[in-house]
Amino acid sequence: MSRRPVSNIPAPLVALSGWLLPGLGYLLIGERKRGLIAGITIIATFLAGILIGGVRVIDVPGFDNNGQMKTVVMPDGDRAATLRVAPLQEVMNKPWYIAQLLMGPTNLIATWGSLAAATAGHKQSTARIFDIGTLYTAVAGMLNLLALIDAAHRTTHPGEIEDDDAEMIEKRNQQNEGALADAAAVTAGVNGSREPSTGGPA
Amino acid sequence: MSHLLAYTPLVTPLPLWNYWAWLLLPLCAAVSIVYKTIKCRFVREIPLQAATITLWIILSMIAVAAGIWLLYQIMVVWTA
Repeated sequence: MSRRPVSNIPAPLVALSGWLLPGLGYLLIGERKRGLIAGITIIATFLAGILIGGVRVIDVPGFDNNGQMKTVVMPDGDRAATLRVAPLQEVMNKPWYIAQLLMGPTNLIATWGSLAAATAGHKQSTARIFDIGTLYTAVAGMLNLLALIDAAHRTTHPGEIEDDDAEMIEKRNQQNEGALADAAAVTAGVNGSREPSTGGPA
Repeated sequence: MSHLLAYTPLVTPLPLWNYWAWLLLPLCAAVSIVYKTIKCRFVREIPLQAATITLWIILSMIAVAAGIWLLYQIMVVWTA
């Protein structure tokens, strides 16, 4: 076993990567096996939820059962989207979507699929199958939140890891430092060439 | 049979209405795996630890179900 060197990738970037693709945060900090295990499990859980309850378990706030945007009549007679007029109330009517949203773009694709299925006339599943599907997808999102927080925490807190992962992190850190040094040298060169000449002819 | 013919994966729900309780088992396993992925210091520890905690979750759920069933028997059936 080796001590994991502190990664030079900022923790917020690691957290954002984990949100974009479950497990990617771990992969960025060099914990490949951990990233693959977490990522595959979380994505499989989310897909299992959609497989069990149908894509319409993604119940999108601001849209009705036919996939149409809900609107309200304003005092001036115009219609406005409910999501714009009362966003908090709309989200609180479908709170599971908050947890599902933690899956990142995976959930946004599923959201698009859910609205497309609703528009095409596919009904939501009923009773326990809908509940189980919703539970799977929401739990997957919350597990992803745990994983991305952990990955961001590990970025700045060294600990013991597998030898091959440690070698990879060291190599990547050296590459990053090399690239930074090259960039600094190029910048210094450019600045040097732009320095005004003082001893030239008038 | 007709619902199987109209089945579209990921769009139509799976016809598992009579087996919904069994669907909790994979969810327990998934929660255990991710939890232990976060908690375990070494990756090689994850499989055994995740299997152990999955078993504990399932046994705990069975114990809670048995307790509720017993409470129902005492409060409703036996005192009726």
